[in-house]
Amino acid sequence: MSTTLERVQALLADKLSLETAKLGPEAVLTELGVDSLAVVEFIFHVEDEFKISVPDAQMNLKTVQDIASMVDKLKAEQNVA
Amino acid sequence: MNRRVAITGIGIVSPIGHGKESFFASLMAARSGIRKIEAPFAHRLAQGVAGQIVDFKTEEHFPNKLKSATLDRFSQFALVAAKEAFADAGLELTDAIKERTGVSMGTGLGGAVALEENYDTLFRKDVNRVPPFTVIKIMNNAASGNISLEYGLQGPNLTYSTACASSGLSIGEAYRQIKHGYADVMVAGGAEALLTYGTITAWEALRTLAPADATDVAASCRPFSKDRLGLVLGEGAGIVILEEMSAAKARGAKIYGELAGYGTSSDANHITKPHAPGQARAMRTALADAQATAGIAASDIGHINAHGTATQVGDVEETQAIKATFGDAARKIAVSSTKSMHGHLMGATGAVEFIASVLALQAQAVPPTANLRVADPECDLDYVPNVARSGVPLKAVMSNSFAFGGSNAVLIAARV
Repeated sequence: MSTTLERVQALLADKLSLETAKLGPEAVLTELGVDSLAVVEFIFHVEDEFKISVPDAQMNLKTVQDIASMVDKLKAEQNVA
Repeated sequence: MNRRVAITGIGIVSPIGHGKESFFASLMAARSGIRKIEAPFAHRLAQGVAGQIVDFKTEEHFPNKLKSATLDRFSQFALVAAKEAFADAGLELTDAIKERTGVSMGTGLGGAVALEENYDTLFRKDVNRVPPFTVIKIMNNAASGNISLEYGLQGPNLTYSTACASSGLSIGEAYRQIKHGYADVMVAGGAEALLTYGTITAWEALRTLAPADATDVAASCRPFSKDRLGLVLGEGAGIVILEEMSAAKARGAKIYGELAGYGTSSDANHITKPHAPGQARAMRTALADAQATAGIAASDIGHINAHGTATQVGDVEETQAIKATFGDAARKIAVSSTKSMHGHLMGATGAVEFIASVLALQAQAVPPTANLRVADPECDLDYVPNVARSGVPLKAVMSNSFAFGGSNAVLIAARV
């Protein structure tokens, strides 16, 4: 079973056409060309992938790890297996 | 300020070929791109025929999924046509030129595909959640905005939505931007992709669409033929690069012709019914402009790319408008409706047909009106029936676009 981080990395590579090698946990989204609009688009896919609902207040995401941490937190809160 | 305007680049995505060579070769061969609609909803359509583009692969043109996710089909067509037009023009986009370059696009329904997907998700699938890029895909100015963004063009960024005259107007207004000194270069044209279940069904309800021809689907659109049964929808994009004439000449640009005249008018008569006096007013205004701008007389117009939608009423009105404008000389003009081959591209049709007329001017050759099977006594001009003509001396050409809502746009191009 892949970790949340690995699944987020794979999803970033697929949905945003990013190079997997550049998607380390500390990689900064804006430096990857993922601006605020692209984050909004990506979160849509994250919600589908992890069966969670991301509230607007959670959108302050700077790194790849931030996304994975947010997912784990929301999965726990929303009781997703 | 009154400056002159050169046409220096052409790009096109159409049901009869992508790229100007392919497009014009189809026109000259009277090759129609009208076909049975391929779509999951096709079996629910009453008519089910269109100038549908079936060989456009999004992933080939936009490999980056983040990029393609922001682009409705009409913007994709527009960007591909713009790329070809810029490559064709060979214009080096320096910082100084980018500041003085604008975009002027026409569209009827903008991001119709994304709009319909949005409603389909909400109303039919009952899913209360739609993709974040829905708004920026749907907006009518998405095509012009994306072209400006792609090339860093910082001049006027305009979108005209006047139904079937949208891109005749967008090109004419772009010409004025250069003529009157507000820009030095304009990317001008139109894009449309409205072959959705909802849009086609709405058109069917208006009872203006031709049925699929029983023997030859490709011949379903028959402008000026007595057996014409209505228009056929199409999709695509056409874009021209317009440049201030002296700058274009100074850089040694290949010049297709001069955009010498533009006229626009409103019928102020009926929301849908075409109206010869309004159309003639736009033609006369364009001719007066061409006379003042480039010394082009009405007798210099050797070819008209007609609006020619193949509705019973429309083709007669346009014939009368041409006769009212040109008098007896109308019979000497080669009048073609290329919609017989590519269909009615709505907001893109003015641009695609202007391009057809400019390519005719360049080639000194006139594409035909295809499928002109039966002469109509009420349509008694020279419509270049079924067979193209080569070796036709053309000094100037006219392209007509007339719209629901009453907007008329007429463009004149002349040899340089």
